[in-house]
Amino acid sequence: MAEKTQDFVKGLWEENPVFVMLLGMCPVLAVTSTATNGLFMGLATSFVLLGAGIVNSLLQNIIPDEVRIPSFIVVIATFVTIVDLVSRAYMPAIAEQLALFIPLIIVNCLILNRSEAFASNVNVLRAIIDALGRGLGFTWALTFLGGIREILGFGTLFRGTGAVIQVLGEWYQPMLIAILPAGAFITLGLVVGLVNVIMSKSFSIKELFGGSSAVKEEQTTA
Amino acid sequence: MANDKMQPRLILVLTLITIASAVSLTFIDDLTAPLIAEEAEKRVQEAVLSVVPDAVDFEEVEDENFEIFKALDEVGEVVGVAVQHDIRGYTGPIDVMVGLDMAEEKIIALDVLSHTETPGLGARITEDEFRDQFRGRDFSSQEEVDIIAGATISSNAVEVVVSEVVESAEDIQAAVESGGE
Repeated sequence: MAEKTQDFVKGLWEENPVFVMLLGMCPVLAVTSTATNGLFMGLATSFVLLGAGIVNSLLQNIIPDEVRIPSFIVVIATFVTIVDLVSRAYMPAIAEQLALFIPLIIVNCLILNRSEAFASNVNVLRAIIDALGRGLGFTWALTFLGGIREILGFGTLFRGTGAVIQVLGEWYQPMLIAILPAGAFITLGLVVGLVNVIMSKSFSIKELFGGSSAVKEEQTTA
Repeated sequence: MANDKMQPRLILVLTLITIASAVSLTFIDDLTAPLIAEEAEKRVQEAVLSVVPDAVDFEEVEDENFEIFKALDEVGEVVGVAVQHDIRGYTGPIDVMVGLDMAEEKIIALDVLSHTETPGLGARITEDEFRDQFRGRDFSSQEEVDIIAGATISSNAVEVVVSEVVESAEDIQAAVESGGE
C-alpha cells in the first residue's frame, strides 16, 4: 500500500514532471499564457498518460524490446488523436485556443518517459496510479504557471471560460512580457528555483529565524 | 540485435498495434466527425449573421475567388454581403468573415472563423477590442489598424485579408447581382 501511495505522491511534488524532472517543456512554455490553457493542456496530457500507461503496461510481454519505442509512440499517438477529435467535437472553444498544441502532445517526452521507464515494467494498477500522479502533477504545474502569467499579463484568472476572475483591478497596467515567450522562460526559471530552494536539505525555516534573531542581538548590543 | 527468427514477430506485433490503432481511431472519427462538421457549419451561420446583424437568413453565391453569402432580411431583401476569405497568419491559415454594406461602401463587421495563432497572443485577433476596429470602416479608408502587442504578424494578416476583400468589392457585388437572378 505504502508503495502505491508513494507512486502517486511522487508525481505531485518530489518528482514533479515540470518543476523537478523538467519534462515536456514544449507545452509548459508554449501554452501557459493563461490558467485556462494550462489546466486543459494538463488534463488532456493526463488522459493520454493514463491511456498510454494502461495499454503499454498490458502489452509489456507482447511488445518485443526492439520495437518498443515505435509501438509506444503509436499507442500514444492514438490517444492524442482521440483527445484531439473529442475536444474539437465537444469543447470547440478550448480546442480552438490550444489548436496545434493538442496534436503535439504526441511528442511530449513525459508520456514516453512514463511508458518506457515505468508502465512497461510494472502491473496495470501501478501504471494507473503513476499516470494519475504524474498527470495531476503536470496539470497543477501548468495551471500554476499559467495563473502567475495570466495575473501579471492580463490581471485575471481563468479567462476564456465562463468563470473569469478579475484578480487585479482597473488600475493595473498589464505586464505584457508575462504572456510573451520570454515571460514563460522567466516565470518557469523563477518557480523552478523556488521549488529547488524549498526542497533543498540545507533550507529550514528554523535557521531562517535563527539568522534574523542573531542580527537583532547584534543590533541591540551595538 | 534481433536475430533472423525474431524479425517476423517484430513486424507482426507492430503491424497489429497499428491496425488496432487505426480501427479505434476510425470508430472515434465516425462518432466525432458529424459533430465537428456541425460545429463548423454553425460557426459559418453564426458568423454570417454576426457580421450582418440585420440579416435573418442567407444564401451562398457561387464565386471563383471568395466564399460569398448574400445576407437577407425577413422579406428577402439583400441587406449586406458576407465574404469568407483566408490568409496565411503566423502559424497557419486565418479564416475570416467580413460583412460588407455595398450601398454605404462600408465594412459592417469582422469575425474570425478559425486560426491556429499562438494562444494568448495572435489568438487575440478574435477578441472584440481588435475586431471592432473594422466596424464601420470605409472601403476607401487608409487609416492604419492598431496591431495587437506581441502579435504583429497575426494582426497585419487580418488587415491584409480584409483589404483584399474590400479591394474586390466591385467583383463581389457583380457576383451577388448575377447570382441573384
